[in-house]
Amino acid sequence: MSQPDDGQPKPSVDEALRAAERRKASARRTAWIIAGIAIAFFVASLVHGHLVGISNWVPPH
Amino acid sequence: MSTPAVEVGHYQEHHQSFFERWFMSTNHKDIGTLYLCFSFLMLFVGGSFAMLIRAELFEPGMQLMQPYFFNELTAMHGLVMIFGVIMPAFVGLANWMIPMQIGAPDMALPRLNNLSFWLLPFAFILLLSTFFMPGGAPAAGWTMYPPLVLQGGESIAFLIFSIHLLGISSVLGSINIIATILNMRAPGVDLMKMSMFCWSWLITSFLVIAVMPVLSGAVTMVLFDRFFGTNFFNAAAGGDPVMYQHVFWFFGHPEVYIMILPAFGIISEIVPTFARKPLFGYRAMVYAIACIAFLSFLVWSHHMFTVGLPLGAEVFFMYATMLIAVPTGVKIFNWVTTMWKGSLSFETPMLWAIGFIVLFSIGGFSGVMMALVPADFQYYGTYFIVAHFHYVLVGGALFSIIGATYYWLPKWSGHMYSGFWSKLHFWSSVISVNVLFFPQQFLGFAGMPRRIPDYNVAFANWNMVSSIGGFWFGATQLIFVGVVIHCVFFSRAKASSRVWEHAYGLEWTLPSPAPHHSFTVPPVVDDSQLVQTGATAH
Ligand SMILES: [Cu+2]
Repeated sequence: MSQPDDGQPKPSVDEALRAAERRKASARRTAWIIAGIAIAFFVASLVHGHLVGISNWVPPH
Repeated sequence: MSTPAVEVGHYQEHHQSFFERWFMSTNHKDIGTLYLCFSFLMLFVGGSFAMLIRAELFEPGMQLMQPYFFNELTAMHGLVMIFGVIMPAFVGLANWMIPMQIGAPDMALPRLNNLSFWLLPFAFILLLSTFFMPGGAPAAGWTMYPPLVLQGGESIAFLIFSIHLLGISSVLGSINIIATILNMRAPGVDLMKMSMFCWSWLITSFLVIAVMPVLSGAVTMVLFDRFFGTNFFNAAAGGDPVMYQHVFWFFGHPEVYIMILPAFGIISEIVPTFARKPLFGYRAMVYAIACIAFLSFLVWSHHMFTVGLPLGAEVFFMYATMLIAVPTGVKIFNWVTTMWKGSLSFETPMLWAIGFIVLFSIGGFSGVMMALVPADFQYYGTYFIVAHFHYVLVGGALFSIIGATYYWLPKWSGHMYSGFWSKLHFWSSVISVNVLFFPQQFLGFAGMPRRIPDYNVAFANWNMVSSIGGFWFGATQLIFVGVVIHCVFFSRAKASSRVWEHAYGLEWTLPSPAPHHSFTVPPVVDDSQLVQTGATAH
């Protein structure tokens, strides 16, 4: 493969799998947090539009 | 080398059908290729709109088309170039390079990555199909200001739905990039030793997360005003059309940094390689990008100086905007200082990077000019604005994307491209782009409004020059197609793993072409491979 062979001991399959699982779980957590932020910004823009709209609202005649 | 851990990431490599490989792909390199090919295709779609616009503007008077169709072209040109070319191209580069630069096997969320890409073609089928609808495509400019945008045909529903899809696509893409950079770095790749390209994308991703949902919110309110009887932007019922501009530009200004920060990252990769020196002021470069990103949220009203803001607001937004010139100046200074007394060589990527620095500076200076409130009353809505944002988006963003392609194409394809043709592509582009856009500054000063199909005869000469530059620049890009196709499919010149003599970064430790799965075992990284830090001056 492409990695430099430095003669250090390589991790066992078990260890590598566990590390990959840990990374995946952590990545999922990050993803959900960031998705939450995105949704918050979407909602905030609508709320802003709504509030500005309400304060200026003229009932239809 | 058959260590057991290699098997961890080793799946489905050699028995994929064409359909599985390209449509079901979860591989960051294949998805990166899809993004890049898609944006390349859209470059010619958006470019053909530009050619039609410049053809109509070649002479005063109406020659080729109905005025309404001209308006459709200007709106769609902007939407296609921004959302279909510049953004997907940077995401494609991110897909290809981020895992390779941080020593990760792939993006953190590969299936999400597939979804992010495949939303794009559908969004653009929706958007482009509006040309064939009764009432025509959206024609109120890419900024979609109400009340004008509400007066068009029903196709606005398609525009809005496609923007929702594009927003979801880029938000998911950014989530993936953040998750990848924060969780998948190989041991030794500390954040403050990471490549500048990764840094620029990490910060850009946060901009995308914060502002694409706001654009979605703005167009959702437009949708409701148009079809469901709300009055968010309807002044007759107490709504506020100026509020749309506030919400839109809260998205819109950070959006322009979404289109330029990854370019900063690319230039910071290319310049040290061909100056044979570490990047000058790595930390300052990181802080400058972060600072620009932060300030980008505080300047949106400089797009609205003429709507009648309170004087205090005008002054605040003027100074906040001028403040951005400081971190941007730091970046330009550091690129120039990196080149200072370096052993420069002018291979193709370096030419594009230097072209970027010069053209982006011209665009940046005109940006500072229009940040001045009293001056902006003169520039607002003229071709001066058009010249400004084309200098930063064509001379800036597009030049960096082309430079990045020439920098990493040998790594992707395993072959070298033609030095002669790629340099001809550069020189022809850099001359024609100035013939195209420099006269537009004169036209703007003289008062020619943007988005008009016909104009006063006083503007005739420079418009003709600009159109000639436009056709020249458009035709030049066909050289790019030829160079890339030749390199990928026909070139016999094999690329070495470290394609450029002084290129540092983990991607150059991989063979060329980069194997389908790289770094299935985290590489052992020492600082000498991460020259960006300046830790080791060779
Ligand atoms: Cu702005």
